Amino acid sequence: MFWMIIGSILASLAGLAVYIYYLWKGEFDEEELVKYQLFREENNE
Amino acid sequence: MTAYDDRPAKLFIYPSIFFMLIGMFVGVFLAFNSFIFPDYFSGEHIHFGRVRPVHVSTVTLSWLLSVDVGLMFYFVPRLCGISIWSAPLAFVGAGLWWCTLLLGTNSFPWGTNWGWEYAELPMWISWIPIKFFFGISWVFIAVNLFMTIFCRRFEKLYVSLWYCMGTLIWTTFTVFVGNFALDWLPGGMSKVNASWFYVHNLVGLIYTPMGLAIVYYFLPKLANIPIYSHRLSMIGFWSIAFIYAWIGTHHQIHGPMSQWLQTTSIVFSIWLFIPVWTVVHNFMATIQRDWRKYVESVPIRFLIMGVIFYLITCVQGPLMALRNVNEITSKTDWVIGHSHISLYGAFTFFAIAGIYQAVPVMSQKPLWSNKLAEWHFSLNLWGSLLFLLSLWIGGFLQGLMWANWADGSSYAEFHDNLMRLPFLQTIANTREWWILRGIGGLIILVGNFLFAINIYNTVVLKKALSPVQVE
Amino acid sequence: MNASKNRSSFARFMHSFEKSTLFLILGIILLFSTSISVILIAPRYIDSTWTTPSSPYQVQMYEIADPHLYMRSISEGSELQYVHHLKKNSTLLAFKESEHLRFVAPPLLEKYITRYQEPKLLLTSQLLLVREPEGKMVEEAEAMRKNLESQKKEQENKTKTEIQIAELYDPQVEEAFSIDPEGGIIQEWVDENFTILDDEVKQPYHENYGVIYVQNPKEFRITPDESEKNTHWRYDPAGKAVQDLEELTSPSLGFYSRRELIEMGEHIYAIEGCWYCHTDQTRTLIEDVVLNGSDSYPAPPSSANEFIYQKITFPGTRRIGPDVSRVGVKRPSREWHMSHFWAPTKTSEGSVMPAFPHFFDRDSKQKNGVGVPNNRFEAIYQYMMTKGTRITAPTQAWWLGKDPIQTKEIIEGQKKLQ
Repeated sequence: MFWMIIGSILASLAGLAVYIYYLWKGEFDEEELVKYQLFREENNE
Repeated sequence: MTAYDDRPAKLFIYPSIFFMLIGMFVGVFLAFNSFIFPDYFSGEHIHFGRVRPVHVSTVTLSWLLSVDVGLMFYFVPRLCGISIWSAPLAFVGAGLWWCTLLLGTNSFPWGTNWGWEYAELPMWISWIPIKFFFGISWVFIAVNLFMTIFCRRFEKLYVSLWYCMGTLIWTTFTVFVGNFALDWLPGGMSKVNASWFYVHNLVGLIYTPMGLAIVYYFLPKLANIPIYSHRLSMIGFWSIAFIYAWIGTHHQIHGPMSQWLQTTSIVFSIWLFIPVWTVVHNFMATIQRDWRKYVESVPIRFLIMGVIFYLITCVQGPLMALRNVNEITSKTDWVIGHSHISLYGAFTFFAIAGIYQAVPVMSQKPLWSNKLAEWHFSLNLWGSLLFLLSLWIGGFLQGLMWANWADGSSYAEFHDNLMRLPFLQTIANTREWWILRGIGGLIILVGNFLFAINIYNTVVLKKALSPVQVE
Repeated sequence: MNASKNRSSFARFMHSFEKSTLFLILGIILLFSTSISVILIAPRYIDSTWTTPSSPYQVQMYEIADPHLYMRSISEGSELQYVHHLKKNSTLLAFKESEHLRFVAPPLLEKYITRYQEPKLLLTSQLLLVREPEGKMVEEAEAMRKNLESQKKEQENKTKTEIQIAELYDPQVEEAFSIDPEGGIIQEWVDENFTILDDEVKQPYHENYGVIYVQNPKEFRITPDESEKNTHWRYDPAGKAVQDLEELTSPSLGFYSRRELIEMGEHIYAIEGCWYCHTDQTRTLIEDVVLNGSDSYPAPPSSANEFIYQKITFPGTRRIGPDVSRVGVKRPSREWHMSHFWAPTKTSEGSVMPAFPHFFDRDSKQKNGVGVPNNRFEAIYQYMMTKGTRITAPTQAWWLGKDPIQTKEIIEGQKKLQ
């Protein structure tokens, strides 16, 4: 039981770390733009 | 103009329509031969226990899973900006897929059921490792789609691609657990727990992501309106990714399973309201920009009605997990109504809409007949409503009859209730609801038959026979 | 977008791969593994009932009794026969006298007899058998009989029952086969007032608080039979003993162990789709314990440790037919099951269950119109009979009202479920 709590805390921290890293890298900027991509797919961009 | 190789998509979509008819025909047969006129056609190979898995496997695997895979082969390349990574790999995968499914799903009348829910495909038929080859064909599909995404031209990933990648990972693991790993677990509840983990993730992490990916692509495409909010779709995705895997035990409420596991599954089942709401809000807000599209376009009608059915099923499901609701609805026909509204009312409607958009594009011809499509939708809608309502009402009444045995305060009173309303009487009382269900199923089958004719003519005929509206 | 075309294709691949897919793949794996560890892996270690047996009776039934009880599953008009496979130093035997059965034995073996009205049961793992008195024992049997007759006259006992006198003897073999005239689904079990007479007992569970044993084993002997019945042999106390397991399970004799039949029955339950209409769980609900209960006591709810000996467990999702988790107690009758599988609508009016004529060999040759059951019927019947009958030892069985968790008190509100 003890190790399960430790394990889940570590896993959540790892998830948080992954999220913050990609946030810092700019993954979540300008995210609404991608939904227009659907209409441009037939053209060569 | 990028040329997309649609042969893999066609290899999965076209046969799946044929199996949709077969599977639903078997379903209607069961409704009549096993419930309305029980054992009318009787015999070792035709009784309910041996034919039911034929229906379930055909509609879940040969129709729904196949058409979802085919539609992924259609929209994933288009969202990536390149053609499918390897057409030969797709051909091999499709060949293995259809051979194993044809053999596997039709072998059940000869006694090959593996014994676990939704994992009935046999391990072996004589010297052929059916399940193993089916697994291999899935791996080929997953690799192909992943490589297409990794080699894409467009940098940003649209939400359908997120759901697609998620389902490729989840399906691989979940199918492995529910079909192969069961043999290595200790007997009893350990296996049962893994089996329900598999069954629920089949619906929630396989069919749901595939179905939602389809709506996220085809709704904006058909309506020519961008999706309402990308951020909302991200919230929906990650909340499903977190919540869904924890709820398998809600199939064992009140059963011989640990209470803490049951409570966990109930709590997470209620949390499911979050992703469901984000998804439904997103879709409805999108079409709200222009409701005329609903009236003008049959596939959009299928999508929106499917979204409504999806909302209903995702309200029904979490509520069914609550202990007191579960006491009434569990083990009754309500459960069958629930499984059909999700796999049929929501995900089959989504797939049908996808086919209506994709087939004219792939065969470069307009849809053969819009009139037929309108009939298809109406028959499907009204048939589904009859089917579902009769099962919900009949099932709920049956659950109430069983709960009636618990009225009172002493065992003598409980037993007395049972003597006055024996189990077999509750079965007899449900028969009229089964009749309504059978009629509903028949109406749906007729509608889908029209659909198959429409698609067949679209693909096969050289040119339109009458001026029709381009979808 | 155009900048990426200047890089090599591998760099482009890595760029595309890294951009969003890596984040997604990592995120999914992390979330998924937390749920798997809590939901899939942890419960087995937290909840001991998932892997520990429900009682020593359950363990001994599955591991000792089932593999060593053989049945000739009915076919071609022969009678159902039950045969025990006895092994020296492994099977526990008891030789118990009753009002109508007395034993005589050579002096060395007299100590193994539990005399009439003696309270303590004597068990042994020596391999001894019982037969009609032979040789020197005939005189002793006659003497005993005269003694008993005069005792009866003294007590003015007018009962007409015949007293049978049998001889206890040592066949000097390592393994033997004994016939069990009744068969039945509950094995002989004792958990108080008993003692095992041997210095070294090798039955693996002999130190449990109770043990399974075979009572008064009589050797299984056969003679060839050329009559019209197709069996080619019949039971004959004066015939030839069966040599070994190979002969017993050969096609001509055709016996199956109960373990094999239970496994076959489980397989039949899977492929015939019984689990689509029946559930195998008595839920912790009043309606379930009442449905499966009797006139005066409720059935105990299913617990995880009832299922640990199954290869496939079928909890079930629908009740188009009733729950079967207590059917071994509710419907133990073999005749009822024969009629039910042959024509469900005749035994249960209003049932929608299909008929299973392929569990029977020929069409009705029997008096009640039911076909002759074959080994498929035997298998599914034995499998059904394991349900509800092995939770506790028969001396503490729930059907005697001895329910350890006091189901009745709980549902009547007199006690709280822990």
